[in-house]
Amino acid sequence: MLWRLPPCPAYDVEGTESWLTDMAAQGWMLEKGSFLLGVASFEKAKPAAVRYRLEAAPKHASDWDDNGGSPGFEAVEMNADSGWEFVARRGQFYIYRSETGNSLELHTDPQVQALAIKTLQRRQIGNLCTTMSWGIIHSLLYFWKGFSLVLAAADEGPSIVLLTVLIPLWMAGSGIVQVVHLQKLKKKLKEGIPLDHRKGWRKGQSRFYGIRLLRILLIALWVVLVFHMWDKDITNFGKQERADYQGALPFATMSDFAEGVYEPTWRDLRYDYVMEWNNAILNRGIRWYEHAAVHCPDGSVLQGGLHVVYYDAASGWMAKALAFEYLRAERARARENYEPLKCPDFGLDEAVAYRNEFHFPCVILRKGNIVLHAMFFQTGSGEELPLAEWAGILAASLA
Amino acid sequence: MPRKSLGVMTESMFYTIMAFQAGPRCGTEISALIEELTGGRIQLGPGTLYTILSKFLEVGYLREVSVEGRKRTYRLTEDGRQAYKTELARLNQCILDASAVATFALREGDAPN
Repeated sequence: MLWRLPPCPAYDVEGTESWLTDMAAQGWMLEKGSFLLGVASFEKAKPAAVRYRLEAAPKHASDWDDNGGSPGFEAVEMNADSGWEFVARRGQFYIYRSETGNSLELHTDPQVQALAIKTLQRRQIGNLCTTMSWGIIHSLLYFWKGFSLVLAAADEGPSIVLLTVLIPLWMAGSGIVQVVHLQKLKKKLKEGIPLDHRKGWRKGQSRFYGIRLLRILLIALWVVLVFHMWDKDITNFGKQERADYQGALPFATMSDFAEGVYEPTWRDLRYDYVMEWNNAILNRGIRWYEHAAVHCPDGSVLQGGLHVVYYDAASGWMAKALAFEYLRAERARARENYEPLKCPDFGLDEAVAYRNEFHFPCVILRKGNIVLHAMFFQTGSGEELPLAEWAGILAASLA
Repeated sequence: MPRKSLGVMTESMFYTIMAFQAGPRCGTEISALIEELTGGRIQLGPGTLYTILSKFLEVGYLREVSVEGRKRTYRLTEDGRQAYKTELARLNQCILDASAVATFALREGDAPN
């Protein structure tokens, strides 16, 4: 038994036919039901002049079909009567072989064969359009709901975002290449030119293997990154209790908002934590979720929660993009609940205040490469500390 | 919605539709009949015949009338008959045109090839 990766894509009819014929000449006959997971299996035989021919599946063929994606009985019988044995399916092509040199060719009319290719091509265009439409609709829906690639890149790293974009684009590109190849094949057949069953398949072999390998590696990397992201989320990876945090925070927190006795009010790592990270587009990122009460000397209590997301971006341009996207995402999520608030200048590059989807007051501050988003909700009798004051303390704290 | 026509037929397609003029037939009978009719000049590869039958079924030129084991028998529909007549008329016109050209060439003094 010999396992081989095909040297050309499934839609390269001439390449596949030539390759299989050459393998038979070397004494390797394609095994029945081969091409499991795209890999061809061969069994040792006497070297022979065997003709292999591919036939475009008239209907979508898949392993999940009742007959396992095999051609209809009538086609198999009809071809077998003329000396053509059905061997396997590769993608949307059925592979037949004839070991007798005098049997009639499987396809005797190139223009009719062009019709079969045309049917397949139309089906592939339909699939491509459906997949692309879904991709576009989903992307727009996510965008509309406030998903941002820039923020995702800052939070999860640019690699996973790049791969999430690149892999579907690559697949769409492969689909287009396939349709174009089928178009060329169809054109040739329509002109009455029969297919070249002895086409040199070695020429593009290295390129094909290289592209295939790269695609597998990228998909594997994407799966690992997605799994890591999911794992991080459910295991609270990277989060630490605020009390244990040893780093120097580059922004003010609730203890800076009022003088008094500080008392944490919520000790749950899911909602009260500090997390620090960096990646290729972020020198430093900090997520600060604080829930506390400050008992002031005058008897008043400042109680609530301060959620800060701090980005020290790799460039001023990136900081600008992050601030823009943060606001867009917040507006998209809040919809009609979004309420712009008056915000003092603070002498920064940008300062925006608003009420978010939960009707809590928020600010987005930008200074140089720094972007800070803060939401401060107060759970006392009212909003004792006005936004201008706490946002001012935060703005002043930005180095 | 009217089904799409296949347009101009290739020789294989024309002989296949012609094979149904005498009545319903199955795939192997069609190949044998065409080979006999043309003295072996036209031999339909099984892949070609199967594609033609599938296309004719798709556009409604044929209809399956019986299935005995793995043998399927088809008959021509009214659309198929009409398509055959149209194609036959086109080919007859080609022959008439060819004759006219030959007559024209003789008049001009050039012998037809």
